[in-house]
Amino acid sequence: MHILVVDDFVLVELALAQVIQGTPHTLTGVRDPRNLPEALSDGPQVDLALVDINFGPGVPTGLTAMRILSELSPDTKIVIESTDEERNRLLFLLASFAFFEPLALLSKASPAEAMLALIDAVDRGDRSGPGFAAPDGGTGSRPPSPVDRLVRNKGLLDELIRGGTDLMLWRALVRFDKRGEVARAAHVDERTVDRFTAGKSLVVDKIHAEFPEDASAPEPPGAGPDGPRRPNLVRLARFAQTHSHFFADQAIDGLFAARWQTPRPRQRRSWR
Amino acid sequence: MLSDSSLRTRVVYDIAVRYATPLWRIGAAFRGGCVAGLWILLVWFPARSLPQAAAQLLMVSAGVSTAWIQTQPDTLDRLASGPVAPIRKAAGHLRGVRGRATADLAGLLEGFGMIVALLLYGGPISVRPLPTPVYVAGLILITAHVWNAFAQVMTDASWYNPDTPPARGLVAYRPWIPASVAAIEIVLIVAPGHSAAGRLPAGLIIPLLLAGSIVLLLPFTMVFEVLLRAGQEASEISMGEVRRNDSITVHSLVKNGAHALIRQMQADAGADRETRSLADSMLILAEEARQMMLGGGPSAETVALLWDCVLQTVPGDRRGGMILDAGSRQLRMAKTDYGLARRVLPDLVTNAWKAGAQRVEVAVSQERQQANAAGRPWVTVSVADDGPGLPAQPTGNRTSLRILDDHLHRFDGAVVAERRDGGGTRVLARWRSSPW
Repeated sequence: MHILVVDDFVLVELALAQVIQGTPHTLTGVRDPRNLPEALSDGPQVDLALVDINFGPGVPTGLTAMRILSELSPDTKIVIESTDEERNRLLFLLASFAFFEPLALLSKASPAEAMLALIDAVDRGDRSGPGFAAPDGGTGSRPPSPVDRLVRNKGLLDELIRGGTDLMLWRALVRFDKRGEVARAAHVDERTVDRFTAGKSLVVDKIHAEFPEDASAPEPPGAGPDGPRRPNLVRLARFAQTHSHFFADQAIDGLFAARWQTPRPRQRRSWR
Repeated sequence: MLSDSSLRTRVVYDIAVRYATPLWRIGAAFRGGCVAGLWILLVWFPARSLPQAAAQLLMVSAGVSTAWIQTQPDTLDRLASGPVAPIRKAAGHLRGVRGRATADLAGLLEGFGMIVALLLYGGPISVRPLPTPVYVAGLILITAHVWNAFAQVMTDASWYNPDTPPARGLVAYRPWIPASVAAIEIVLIVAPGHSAAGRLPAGLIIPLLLAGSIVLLLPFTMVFEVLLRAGQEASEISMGEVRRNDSITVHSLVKNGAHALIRQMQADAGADRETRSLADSMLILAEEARQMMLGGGPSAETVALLWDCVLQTVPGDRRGGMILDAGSRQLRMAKTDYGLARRVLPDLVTNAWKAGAQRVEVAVSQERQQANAAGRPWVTVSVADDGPGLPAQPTGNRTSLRILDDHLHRFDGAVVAERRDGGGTRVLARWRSSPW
């Protein structure tokens, strides 16, 4: 099996090269998702891509890498590598499972044996090991793994961003937390901001309930002129700031636009 | 100048959006005061012309009232959900255009309303006779109204939007807006009619001065932009301070921890060389992170940056003997090559000073083979020292050089050590450059 490591740190590739030493697997790497088209056309057929999420400031994210892989090499299986500690990865991970079909989630802190076990399992077509989404979606008796929870809750992302206006409002909330300013920055009226705040607060509550590790940021103190009157808006602004890297990612514009154009079952109009 | 795109930044736009809300409110109230003053002046108008004068003030009154309502979101919300359909529709329209650079009902009513109101005092249908003080006061109020409305236009947040910049034509026209508005006012006042220029109550001087004062909007906007620029610079300075503080945090949190780990590794005879190297690389990564914070973004991945970071792994009293070839400093590498150099260089330098070398000369080069000029270039890291030479290593031992050699094989490379004439060692690490 030929493995492609898409990670900005060459050390990750070197470490994995040591892990697969003595196995029939081969390995190459790219440091930037923008180099993927060249790497895919010049190199051997890639069977498995290990894709990082964050490539540093100014570089496209793992979502771009997965989009390129799914377009140019649809048979390549994708495993996402992620660091466990970073809370701001949650929306990226939800988007990864919502827009693509990664097989598994691999923690960068995994021991070498676990990495090799996962690679071998992908090679065998065995999806039962740790890191893979459970076939029953994690609804069985065992507690759901992190990847099960991501797969089960990937629909939350659609609730969070239902259209272009939602996206503009989230981006405005990264920088503003007052109703009028958010409205102006997003080019909408204040009533729209109110409906957005009411609806999205429920979605953020759901996200925090499903992923409590993401909810550890303290509640806003309610200070300031808008604080006591609109605590939900301030709370949403905090959420947007935590995930600012996700909302700023230009890749999500294209991914969501394609999704919104796809006919979906008719749903009751909701701002959630 | 006003078309300068250097102010179209996130910080300036954020400031502009923040000042827009209170300024709109204050501006609408101010213009409301001007229109109220115009109504009061009707007391001194000839009785026969009062119906005409009142009719001429209606449009601007409606415009300024609409503009004020537009700044009151709660009132607008109530109207938008009220029982009267046309009001509901108008309120919906006013809510929809807030924050957009577009013509709206309030703007159109105010704009045309001011022209109609101005025609009370000048032009073909002006009211005569008017006492000179009333005439002058009327012109002052109208000019103040125009001043305020166009001050808002000139400093609107949309000029500074970095995401959706204004149309080029608009940006080019912006410096000419005050002159155009002044010209329109002058033309309206002195337009031939039954009140030809010679018969203006206060002559030409006062209307020309008042209308001409609108041109001062240009220097006003320039001063405004000087303040914006100062705000931007102050913000950048504050950001720099934050970055410096963060870099200190990185230093104390990461570097102290890394140093402790390295000390432990050095004391632990069983620790693998690769593990020790990785612990060393933590220091380099921490230093790169610190420099990135200080610079406010990723630094160019040059050998000079890498060398500065590598020196962090060398004890302070040894750094004086560490020399980087001047020609290597500005060499920029692809990300993979930079990562490999970051892996290779600290090990080679550490080996040298730990072996007792007093002087370590480092050079990094990237060159194509003459036989294959079109092929990928080769990267060479050379570390030459004046130490005692390479110790004999038992076969099969995983020395740091052996490990580096293994890594570089993946990139068609190798590590070669040789004795230097006159004493010391030169280690060459070489690999085929990665295209990405």
